[in-house]
Amino acid sequence: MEFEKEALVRNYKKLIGIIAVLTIIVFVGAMFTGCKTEATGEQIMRLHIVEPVSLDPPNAYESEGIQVIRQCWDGLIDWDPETYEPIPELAESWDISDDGLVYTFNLRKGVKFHSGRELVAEDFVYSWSRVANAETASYLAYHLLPILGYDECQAGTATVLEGVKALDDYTLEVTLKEPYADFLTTLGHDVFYPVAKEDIEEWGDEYTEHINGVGPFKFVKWEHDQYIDLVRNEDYWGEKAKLESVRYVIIADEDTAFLEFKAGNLEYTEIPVGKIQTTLEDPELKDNAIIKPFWGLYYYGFNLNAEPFADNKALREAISYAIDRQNICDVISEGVPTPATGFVPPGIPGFKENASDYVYNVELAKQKLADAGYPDGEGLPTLEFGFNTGAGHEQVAEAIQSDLNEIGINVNITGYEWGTMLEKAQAGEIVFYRLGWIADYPTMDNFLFPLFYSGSSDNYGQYNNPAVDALLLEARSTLDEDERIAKYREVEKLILDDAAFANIYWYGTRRITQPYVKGFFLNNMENYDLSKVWLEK
Amino acid sequence: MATIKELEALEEIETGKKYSRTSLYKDAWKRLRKNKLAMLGLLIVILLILIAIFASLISPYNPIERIKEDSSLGPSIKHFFGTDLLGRDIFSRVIYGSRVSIEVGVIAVGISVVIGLFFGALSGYFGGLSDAVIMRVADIFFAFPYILGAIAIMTILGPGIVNIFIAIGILGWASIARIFRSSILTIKNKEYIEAARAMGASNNRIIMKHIFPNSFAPIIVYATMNVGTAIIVEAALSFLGIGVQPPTPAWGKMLADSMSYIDVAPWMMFFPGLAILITVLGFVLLGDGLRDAFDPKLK
Amino acid sequence: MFYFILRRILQIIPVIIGVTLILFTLMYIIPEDPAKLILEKGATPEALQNLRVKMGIDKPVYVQYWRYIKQLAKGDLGTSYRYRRSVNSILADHYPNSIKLALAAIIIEVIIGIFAGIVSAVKKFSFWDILVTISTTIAVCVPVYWLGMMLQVAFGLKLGWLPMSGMGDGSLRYYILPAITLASVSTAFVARMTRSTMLEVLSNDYITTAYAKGLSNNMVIGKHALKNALIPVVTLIGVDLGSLMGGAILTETVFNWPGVGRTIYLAILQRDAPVVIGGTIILVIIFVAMNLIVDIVYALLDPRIRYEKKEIQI
Repeated sequence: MEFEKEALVRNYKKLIGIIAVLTIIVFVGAMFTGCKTEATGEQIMRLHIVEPVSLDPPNAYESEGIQVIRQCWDGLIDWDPETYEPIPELAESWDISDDGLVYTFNLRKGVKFHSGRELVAEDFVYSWSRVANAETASYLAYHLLPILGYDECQAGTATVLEGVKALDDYTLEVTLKEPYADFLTTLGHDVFYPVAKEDIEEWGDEYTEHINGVGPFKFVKWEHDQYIDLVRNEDYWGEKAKLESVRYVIIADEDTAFLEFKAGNLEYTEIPVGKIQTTLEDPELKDNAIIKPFWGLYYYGFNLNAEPFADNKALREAISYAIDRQNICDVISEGVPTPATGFVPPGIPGFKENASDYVYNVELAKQKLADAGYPDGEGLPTLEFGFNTGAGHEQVAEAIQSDLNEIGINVNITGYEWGTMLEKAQAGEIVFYRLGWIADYPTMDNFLFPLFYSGSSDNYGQYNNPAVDALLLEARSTLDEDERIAKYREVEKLILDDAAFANIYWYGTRRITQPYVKGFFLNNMENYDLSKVWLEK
Repeated sequence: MATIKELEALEEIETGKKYSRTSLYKDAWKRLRKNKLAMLGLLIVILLILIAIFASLISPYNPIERIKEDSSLGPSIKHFFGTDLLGRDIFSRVIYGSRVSIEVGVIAVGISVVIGLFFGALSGYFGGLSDAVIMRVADIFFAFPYILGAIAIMTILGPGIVNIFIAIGILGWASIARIFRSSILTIKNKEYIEAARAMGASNNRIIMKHIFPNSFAPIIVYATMNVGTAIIVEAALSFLGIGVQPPTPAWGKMLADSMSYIDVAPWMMFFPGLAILITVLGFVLLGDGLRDAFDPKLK
Repeated sequence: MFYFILRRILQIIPVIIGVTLILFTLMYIIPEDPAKLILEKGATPEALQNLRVKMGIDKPVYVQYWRYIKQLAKGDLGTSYRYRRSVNSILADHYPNSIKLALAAIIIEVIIGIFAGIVSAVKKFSFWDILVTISTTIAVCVPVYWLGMMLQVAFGLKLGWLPMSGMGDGSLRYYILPAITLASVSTAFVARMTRSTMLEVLSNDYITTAYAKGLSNNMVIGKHALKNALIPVVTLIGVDLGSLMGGAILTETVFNWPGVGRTIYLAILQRDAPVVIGGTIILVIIFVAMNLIVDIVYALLDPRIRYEKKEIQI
């Protein structure tokens, strides 16, 4: 009896052993043989992208999805690649009423969605209302803020934007709440792209995987975490693309992507931090590196209502003078960004050179600190500084901490998540924090109004200057461009004089293409138009 | 990490101790002294504590001072371990980094021992419902991936060294509780406890006077080993950017900073990692040695 | 036997409910508002409220929890805050990568760990034994991400033999460095355990008898000793699959492996509660299930074991 049991157990063991081994073999075999399919063809361009959050225009709030969307769609207007002035795209022409409130667009005829249906003015009414609707809860709804009826849509009391009307199939009329001279330029943003109502009704939240645009490339497939495929739109209303297809290869990090690029598996990618200098020294790579300004400002904000910054301009100035911006740009970011000498970045229409004189000057900083009532930092409490973790912000913070320490200011630095940081900033727990602002559209207004208008939700420093508020509103209603720019420049001067923030640097782009990629132009907002690109292999 | 140790420790308890307490420790020390690896571990630990205490005397530079013109230099006479991106002396930072590791090791494990003893006693001595509940909760803690748990707690508490103490302290209690519980269970029914109880000793008194001293050895062994784990976890949290905040030099943080530069500046990551390795090795060797010393049969 | 299995399966349920409860509490103790984390610009009060409604976080926590449990019972893990996509499909994209990596690590663990353990036990106190002892001691002390970086420098940069990061086209060479890194600690444990169980088995009477019967050394070790010595080792490896996946965050970070550990880590940072909770629940289920399978196998092999439990702490 006992013996039998043992034999049984032994057999069990054997059986289980065999099963285990077989399972492992089958598993492993199955797992490692799966090979990815490679898209083929002469004119295919492969670009690196990080898994996008969404490809649905109202929800594509980060840099990744936008890249795909911009190839699949056109807007009412586009930005001229050189001057960034609005140029006709889906709208052939437009009229602006004298009071600057009513815009009438004459739409291009014969533009078709990729599904084949013709685009009409009603599509814009639907699409824009959808963005503004409470139910959509769009991340980007704020772009429609100037349009009449926006507030009602956000509050849920209306579902259609009162200010957007289709007068007929090819005429669209837009009414604003208040004059906003740059409104036309903002329409180049992808949140204004038209979607077809029937698609949204069919797909709902899954529309992001079935996008249907009007642009030079048609969406084919989004294989999550692997790739997004596009093909040339043969029915495109304009000049058809030269590329047959486009593949966005999804790779989570830039280091891996760069290795793939070097191996010849990508045509376009980002140069990772830490590899910029070596790339620029590499004879094979350096000619195709794209290092140029990227419109955005990296800056440090002060809580202007809290001690010790409230009513102490000299202290804020002392901090600004104490920061060695050049060293930060060169050492931490390998020379890609440029030390900021103002607020609005270079290249934006209306940019003013050397708008501020905040340059590294320890002596002046010390003097300002004394003026502020804290000679050599005496009597000044340790400042609580917050930054959002990631993207090298920590090292910038450490550098600035050390710079400030030099003139006697002690700073505690802590990394938070973005939202936590903002909440702590609003609660006054941190009075000094890192911020950044990336251009939505190529206008000065986009930098000044959201950040310094007293009622704006992005005004984290709680800056409140009636003169600035008045000037901003005046500028918005000034239709003459030169006059308008003069006003924005005045605003910029006022906020710089107030030392409302400490500017650090203007961002820079660090991208690279393969030498055989031709016709590729990256603008200062990191946008590109692949319909003009071809490969010369 | 704990599995084998734990099984062994359980066995150790189940087999019971034949020695009286004083001779147990005396014998243990004798055996420990003969164990070369354990003595090496002890030496490392002592050295480390000395380095942490006298960091300011040993390090040639201020660990947070930037020497702007010395950015990203390789090891040399001027900077033994080279400098980092911001031009800070890595040798000095490694020296100062020992403070964070030692503090985390001692304080965090101290917290987990206190929590573990409390719940272990509750569970083992009183049994019944409290035992069932506590052990189920311990199960949940065991099933929860340690590092994920630490990350989750850190995101709630926010970064900072005090919160690391708490996070690691909270996560480590279950193993201590379980060890203490099983040692109580084995001792509880021994005659001398029965006798004490019969003589009217209170529960507290029995636990403090009789049970605690008798289960001290496995707890010491465990705590020592947990120090190593705690140091590794702290480094991992700092590596992920949710641990010790800059500019306090911490080894894990230094490794994280060096990640983008491993091809151009490998020294930035080499030395801090080596420091973690040696430190943890010290505690593990000492822990292993202690275990063997307390129970020679296992060797 | 049936009741034993049934009871063990039923015991999993409170553990899973406990885990969801803890996670839910954790994710909601966090004071800040997930809606604010997502709206980087234009966070007007209306926009925030709309987003909260969309995310389903406008209701009290207990209502949310109850709804979550109901969904969970149907196998639905909810919708990601950040991606507005089903958590099931996000996890389905990442879990296979982690499982593949964990399996690769287990293969290394089995081959190297058991081999080293046997050599070390059979040739006790030899040079090889000492080498194995020293290297396993060191292996458990090395921070895995540091080991990963060292391997990247050595094999990726200096020698250029293996890819440094990512999964590339999914071919085997991409697995080698991350799998070694992930396996390092477990391999050391397997080696040590094999060594000690082997030593124990080798000292048994029947082994002595086998030798006495004139069987060759290889025969005795291969046929008699190994078979008995490996049972606890197999247990360790079985349970390891769960821990390897949860513990892979660091390895996945260093090697940019698109796995589930990294997904959960990023979701924690982004306060994407549905992904964190869903991802962790699956991890815990895998972990507990592996424990259960191991226990059942154990119980089948040795009927005396019924209630004994062995947990692994990572």
